[in-house]
Amino acid sequence: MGLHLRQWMVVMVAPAVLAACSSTPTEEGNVGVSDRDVAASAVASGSPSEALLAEIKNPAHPAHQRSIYFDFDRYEIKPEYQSLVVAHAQLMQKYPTVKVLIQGNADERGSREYNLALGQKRAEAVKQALAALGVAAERIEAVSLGEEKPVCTERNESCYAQNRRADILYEGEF
Amino acid sequence: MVGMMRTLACLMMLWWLGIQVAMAQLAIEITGSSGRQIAVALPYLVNEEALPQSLTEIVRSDLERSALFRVVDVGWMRVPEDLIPDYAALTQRGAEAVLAGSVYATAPGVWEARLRLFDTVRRSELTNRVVQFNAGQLRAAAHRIADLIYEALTGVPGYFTTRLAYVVKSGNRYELKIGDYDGSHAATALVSPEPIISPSWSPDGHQLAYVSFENKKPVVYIHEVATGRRRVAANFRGSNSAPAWSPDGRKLAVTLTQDGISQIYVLDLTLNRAFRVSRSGSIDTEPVFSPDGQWLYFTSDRGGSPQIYRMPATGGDAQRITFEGSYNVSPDVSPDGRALTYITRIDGRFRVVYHDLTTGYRQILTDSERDESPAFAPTGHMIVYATEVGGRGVLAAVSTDGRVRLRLSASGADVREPAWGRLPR
Amino acid sequence: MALAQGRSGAPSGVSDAARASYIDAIRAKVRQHVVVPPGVVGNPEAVFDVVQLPDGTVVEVRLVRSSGFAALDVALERAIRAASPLPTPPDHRLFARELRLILRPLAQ
Repeated sequence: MGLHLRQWMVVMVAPAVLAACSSTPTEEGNVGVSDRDVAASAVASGSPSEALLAEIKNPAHPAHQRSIYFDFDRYEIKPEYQSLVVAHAQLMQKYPTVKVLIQGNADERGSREYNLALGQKRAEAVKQALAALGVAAERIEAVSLGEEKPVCTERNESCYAQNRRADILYEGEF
Repeated sequence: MVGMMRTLACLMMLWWLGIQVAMAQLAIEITGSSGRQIAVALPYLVNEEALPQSLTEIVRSDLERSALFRVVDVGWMRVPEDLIPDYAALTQRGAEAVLAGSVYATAPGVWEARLRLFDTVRRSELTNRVVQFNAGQLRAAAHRIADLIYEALTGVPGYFTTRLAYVVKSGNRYELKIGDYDGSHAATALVSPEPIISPSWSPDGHQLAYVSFENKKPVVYIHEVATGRRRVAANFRGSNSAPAWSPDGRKLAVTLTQDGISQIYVLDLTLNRAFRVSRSGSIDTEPVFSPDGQWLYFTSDRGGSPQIYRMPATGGDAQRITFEGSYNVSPDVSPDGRALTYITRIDGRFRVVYHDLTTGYRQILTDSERDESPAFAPTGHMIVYATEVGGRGVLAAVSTDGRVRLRLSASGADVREPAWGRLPR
Repeated sequence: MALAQGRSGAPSGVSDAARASYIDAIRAKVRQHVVVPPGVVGNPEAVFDVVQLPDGTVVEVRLVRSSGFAALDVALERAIRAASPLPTPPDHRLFARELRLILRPLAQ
C-alpha cells in the first residue's frame, strides 16, 4: 500500500504549514494545516460544484441519495448500494474538478475513538469503491464522525442501523 | 588456636543469645482491618470569620467526599497553632487528628493561614504549613490544605488541587470546561456547535489538546489554558484524533488516517513533523505513553477484536496485554507505570477495569452499563470516568481497589470525556 | 524476667488458653486501628517488630518486611502505635517484651 505522489506531498507540505502556524499561537478560526482549499465553502455562482448540487437536488436523480448503510461491525458495501455508488462515480466524472468528502459514522456503542476508527473504515470503503470505478482518489477525502453526529439517539437496533453509514458530500457542503 | 576457640565461643554465645531473643519474641498474625474512616477534627481556624468564605468548610467537604475521612464535630472549639491542643477533649470526641491554626491578614485582601496538624493519639505534630492567599485563591488554598491532611494521614498524596477538564453537551452546543478536581467552579475554554472529544492535558498543565469537529472532520487542536489561544496540531488528510502527550511534553501521539486506515503517529511538536509508529493493516488507535516515555499502550483490532497492546514509543513489535473478553479499549497508564485502566465489555455492558501490569491481576471496578474514557488521577489511586445515570452523562471516580466511589459534579447537563490534569510541578 | 516461649508452648503453669486469650486481645486491639489507605490491592503482608513495656506501652515499632505499599506500611505502623498501651495478660508470665506482628489487612 504505497502512498500516491499527491499524498507524499501532503505529508511533506503539511509539517511546513504546521510549523508556520505553530510558531505563533493562532487565533480561533485561523485553521492551519490542510490540503483542502480554504475557499471551498464559498461556492461561486456558476461554478461546477453549484451545478452539481443543483442537479442532484432532484429526488429522481440516481445520485440524490447520499447515504450508504452498513451491517453491524461490517465495512463492505452491500450489493444493494452498488448502483448508488456507480451513480455517484458517474457524477464525479461529469464534474471532474469538484472535491468530495465522505463522512463515515458508527453507532454509539463503545469507545468514541474506536468508533471514530470504525466510521473511518466505512468512509474508506466508499472511497475505494469510487476509485475502483475510475474517480481520482486525490479529490476524495475520507473522514469519520464516529458516533458524534447520529441521526437518531434511541437505543434500539433500528436507530443503530441508521447510524452505521457513510455520507457523500460535495464541495459547497463542507 | 586459643584465638580461634575464643572466636568460636563468642559466636556460639551470640548464636545462643540470638535464639533466646527469637524465643523471647511472640509472633502474632493479624488479619483484617477496622473498615472505618480516619476521624479528623477541623475546628474553625482562629479569625477564620474574617475571610470572605470559610476555608475549613471546603477542606471538610474535600476530605469527606474522599470517603476515607470522617470529620468529627468539635462544636465551637478553637485550636490555635501556637498552643498545645486539648488532646483529652479531642480524643474523647473520637478525633485521631486535629488541624490547629489561625488566619492572619498580611495586607489588604491577602491572608496567611498558619497551620499545624496534630496526632491526638500520639500527642505529637504531624506536619505544619503556612498558606498564603487572596480572595481569588481561597478555594485553591483550601484544596492545598486538604491535600496536606490527606497525605499526612494516609501516606498517599491528595488529589484536591488537580484540575479536571471535560465536555458538556446541551442540545447542539458543546463546551470544553476546566474545573476543580470534582468538576466544580468550571470555566469554559471553548464553545462549539460541533462535537469536542478526547481532551488531554499537557504534563505541565498549561495546555489541553482536544479533537474538534467544527471543520466537518476531526482535527486536533492545542489550547493554551491561560490565554485561551489555540493552534491546530494535526489536520492531515482524513481524520485526526486521540491526542496523548508524551511525559516530556515535546510530543503528541495521535491517530491519523492519511494512509487509509487509523494508525498511530507521533507528532514531534518542536520539529513539527509526524512520524508513523504503528504498522498494521488494522485499526490502531487510542495511544497513551507510559510514564517513562518509552512505550505506547494502544487499542488495536489486529487480532480480530479490539484489545490493548503495547509497543515501543518509536515503533516496533507490539505485545498484546489483554486476553480476557472480546472488547478491551481506551487504555490509560497509572503514574507509576505499574497498572492500566481501560474499558471492558462484558455481556454488552461497558465497565472500568484496573489491570496490574506486574502481576496480570485484573479487577472490574464498576457495575454500570456504559462507562467510558477512564483516566488515572495524577496521584494514581483514583480513576475518573464517564458514565450514565438516568440517560444523562455524568462523571464519576472510583479508587483503584474499588472501595471508594464518588460522583463528581453533575450539573444536570450531559457531561462526558473527563481528563484529569497532572499534579502541578 | 519472664520469657514467653514464642513457638514452643506456654511456660509451665500457664495454660494455652490463657496464652491464646492474651494473643487475641492484642490482635483485636491492633486490628481496630488499622485503616487501609486507598490503592492497596491483592493480599499484602507486612511484618513489624514491636517492643513494649510491662504496662503495654509501645516503645518501639520497626518494619521488618514491607507490604509492598509504602502507604500501607505507614498506616499499619500508625495502627500499632495507636493501639498502645497493648492489653496486658492476667498472668504476668505471659508478657512478651518483644512482639513480631504479621499483618494482612485485606485477608479475612
